[in-house]
Amino acid sequence: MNPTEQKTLKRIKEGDIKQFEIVFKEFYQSLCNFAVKYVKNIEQAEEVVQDTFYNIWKNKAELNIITSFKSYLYSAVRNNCLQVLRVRSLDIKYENYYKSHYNNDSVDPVDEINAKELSNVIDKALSTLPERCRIIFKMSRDEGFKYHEIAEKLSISIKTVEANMGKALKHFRIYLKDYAEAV
Amino acid sequence: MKTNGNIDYWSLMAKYYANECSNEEVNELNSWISENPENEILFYQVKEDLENINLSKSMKKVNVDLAWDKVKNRIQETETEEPRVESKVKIFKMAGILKYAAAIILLVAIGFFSAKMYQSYSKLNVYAENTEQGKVVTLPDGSVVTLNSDSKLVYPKKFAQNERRVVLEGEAFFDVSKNPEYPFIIETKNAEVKVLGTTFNVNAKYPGDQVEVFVATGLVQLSEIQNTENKILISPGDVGVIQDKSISKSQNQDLNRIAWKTKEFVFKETYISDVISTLNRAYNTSITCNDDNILNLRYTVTFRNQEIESIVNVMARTFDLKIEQSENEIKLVKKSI
Repeated sequence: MNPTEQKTLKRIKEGDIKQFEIVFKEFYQSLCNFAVKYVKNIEQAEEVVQDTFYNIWKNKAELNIITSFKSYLYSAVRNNCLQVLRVRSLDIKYENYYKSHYNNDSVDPVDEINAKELSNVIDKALSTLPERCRIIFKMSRDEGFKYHEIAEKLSISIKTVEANMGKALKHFRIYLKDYAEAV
Repeated sequence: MKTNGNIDYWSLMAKYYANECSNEEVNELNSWISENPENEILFYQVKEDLENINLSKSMKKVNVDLAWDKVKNRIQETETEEPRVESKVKIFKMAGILKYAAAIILLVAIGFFSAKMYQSYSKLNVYAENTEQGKVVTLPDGSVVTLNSDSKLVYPKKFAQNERRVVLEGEAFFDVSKNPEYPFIIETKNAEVKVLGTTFNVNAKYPGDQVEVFVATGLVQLSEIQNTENKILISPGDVGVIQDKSISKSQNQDLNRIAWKTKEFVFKETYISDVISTLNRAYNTSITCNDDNILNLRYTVTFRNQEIESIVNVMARTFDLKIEQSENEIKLVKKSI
């Protein structure tokens, strides 16, 4: 832990809620992105992250962070996600599957997550798509245009729209393959 | 679609998931999927990819400030409760604060009652009505509700397993026993109020289909009754307003919002016309004044736990007015010279 973080930790342990708010706001979004990978639903992800922070504050007197805030928070959120999944899965096999895959508390998750947050992966995939392909994909998926409408607006053939949509899916598959395997 | 005898299955899948496939193309896709298991896996992976892309879009909508408010409120709730066991002096002080914790005021249409309330009023339900002020009702979970005048409440003899739901018309102050796993929900004409805190006040006395929620401390969720996804969280000091389908919130400006219950009035440079309407609302009285010269005067005063008669007397003396009292009305007039 660096000296700045040590100072922050000390203040939080003394009950400085302003410091706690700063830490919360710094990590909230990325922790939600991280949690959603496990729980597959943004509301639940937010709930898990909020619970994690709430419990940290509640037990702040015993709070002991050796590595870094980031590392600590990601571990805590991951453990809570696993708890949610455990509760969710009544199927023993499913539970065992999760245990064997995730329940390795000794691993610092930070290293494996940096490049692997879902929205990062998708943003990266989007940004590396050829421009026309990206425009077509967004018009179809985000704006809900039909193929013939896209063709009309961009003065291209429907065949070109079809081909570009296929190209985009293939492109995403390549990027998301790594993401899915990391989970 | 065919290039060198190979189907461009990526385009075909994209087309399928965009609902653009013809029947013929769906058949084509089906036979490709059944050709070998890898194709099938790929077909579902692509579906998952598209779902993940949607998920990533929804993740960008995470509201960090709102999330922090939620956590902070939870923290404050538990911290304000802790001193209750520590010292008697603190308990006494806390009682005053808790009385206003999560105070809510709801304004709903009167017409609502006849339809919805009677529907809910069955043998299993209890119906409480108050024509005067300050009737206290204890709910099956130990929560205490103080009903204002002309107010009605329906609640079950025994609450459901998963939630505590009541129907209200009129105005009431709720002191809800805390249990986060067991949410307390108030139904009104077009709004549903979910209480995430501990105590609050509800008013549903005013005509019109507007619902207003005021929170002093704690956290309350206000939503459309037909569509609870259309919701906002209301934090301490804020007033949430729902009208038709639009929900908004702003900072509370009315110092006397729950004065009907507390009988504490704070007027600061307030027009007499507003003072009179606030008092009428709180005491269910009919104080009137037709003289614009009086109505446009401004009044700065605080009243605490006084009978309405004594308040009116103080006003009369302050502004040198005469009180004309009849059976149903208190009229303020200029003293004749």
